[in-house]
Amino acid sequence: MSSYRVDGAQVAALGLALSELAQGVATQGESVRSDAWALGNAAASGAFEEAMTHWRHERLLLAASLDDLGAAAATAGAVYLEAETGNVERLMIGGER
Amino acid sequence: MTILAPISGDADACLVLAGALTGSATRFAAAAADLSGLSAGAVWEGPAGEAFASRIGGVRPVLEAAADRYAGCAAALRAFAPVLADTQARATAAVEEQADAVRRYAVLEDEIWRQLSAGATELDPTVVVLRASQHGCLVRQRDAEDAHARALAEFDAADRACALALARASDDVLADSATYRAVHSASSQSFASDLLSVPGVILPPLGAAHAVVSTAADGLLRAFWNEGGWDQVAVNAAIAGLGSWGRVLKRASGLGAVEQVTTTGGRTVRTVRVTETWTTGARLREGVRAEGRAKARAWVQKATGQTGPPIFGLPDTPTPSRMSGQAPSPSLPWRDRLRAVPPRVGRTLEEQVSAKTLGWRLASANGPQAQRMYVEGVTLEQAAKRLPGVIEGQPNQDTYP
Repeated sequence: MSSYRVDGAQVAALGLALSELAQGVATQGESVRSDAWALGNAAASGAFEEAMTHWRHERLLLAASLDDLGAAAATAGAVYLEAETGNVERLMIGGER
Repeated sequence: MTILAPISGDADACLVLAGALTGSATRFAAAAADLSGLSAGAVWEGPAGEAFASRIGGVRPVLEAAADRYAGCAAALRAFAPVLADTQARATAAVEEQADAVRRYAVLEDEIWRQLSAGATELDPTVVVLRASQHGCLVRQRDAEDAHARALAEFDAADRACALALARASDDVLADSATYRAVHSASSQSFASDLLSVPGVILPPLGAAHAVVSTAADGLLRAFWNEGGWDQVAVNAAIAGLGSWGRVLKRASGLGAVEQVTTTGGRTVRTVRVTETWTTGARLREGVRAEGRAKARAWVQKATGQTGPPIFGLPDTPTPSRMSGQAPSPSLPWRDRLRAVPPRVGRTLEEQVSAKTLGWRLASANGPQAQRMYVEGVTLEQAAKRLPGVIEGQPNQDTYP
């Protein structure tokens, strides 16, 4: 017989966290041009800008993936909790008879 | 004489930047660690959990690589900052010393000219002393130039070392290809640059965006373009898969206006007033953030009936648990969770009508620009429903499994 161990609330919370991280990742590096001035106007400034901006494609893919995973986890967490709640309600009604 | 220039940059800002990078690296690493724990079945055992774990396989290495990159960049900046501070101070002192010596030389020259005009000669003791002082000024200038050159040489060496360290830190699997950079650069000339100005928005693959813009979205672009470009952002964002941009626009249009409900003589009076003036850009940015927060909050509230504990997150993002001041234990008994579910409150017909028109009334209070934003938000929402394959197309072809 199969046995599962799931904490629906924690799975749902993971979904929220992933969603927040997705937004953070999506915005990473977009304001780098205004930050690079701190390094002066020489090679390091350009290298810093490149380090922050030239992983844009992977960064946006990562953000999209995190967003998808967040939605999946939140949805699954909700389903688990709803099922748990429904089961409890049915058991309580059964116990009152 | 060489005119000396100061060294630009700000060491304190470098250290602040390094701190921010370290924070990002920590968050990336924490996220990767949490996903690792999840993939090991820590909180989600069973077929669905296994399926989820199989999808995070490609995300974790990227998070780890990002953490390494940001940590490496932070270290490079920390090593660079003190050298920048030192050489910058010495260069600035040299610039000031040179300027002072030049000014003093000029003053001495004026005095010599006055002496010579009054009948003195170059052999006059006063003029000789003044000429000696002028020579001292020239020595000061030369010394200042030498000091400046030494500071500049040290800065250049540190700058090259920092650039090298940054390049090494970013030499990883994350780096964009040259082709992608070229395409993105060309694309930014048209519409992507607008999108980049809005935080929280994910660009779709550029090819897909072009296809959409060249077909169904063309009409929307023409209709929206006279608003300075934010409307074009809306079109791009609507196809970006981060949710409905129409809701973002609608939400943004009402920012800064509030509804006040008062009861006078048993009659409910609803008025809208503007409490804060927003620029269009700020309105859009906050609209994106608010929509993202609402989306995430709805997930958790649907799942738990209350706010949940964040496993990880960005410190500057107000998570629901932070906003409510409560972070319930994941092991909270189900009975307590059920008690936390707020009771349904029935609405009267009047309340329902007021609620349905609230967005428009808030936007109206904010002026014609906000009204237009609201109308176009509604239009985008409807367009997304009618053209799900185009407007809400997900850029998932290239995402991780």
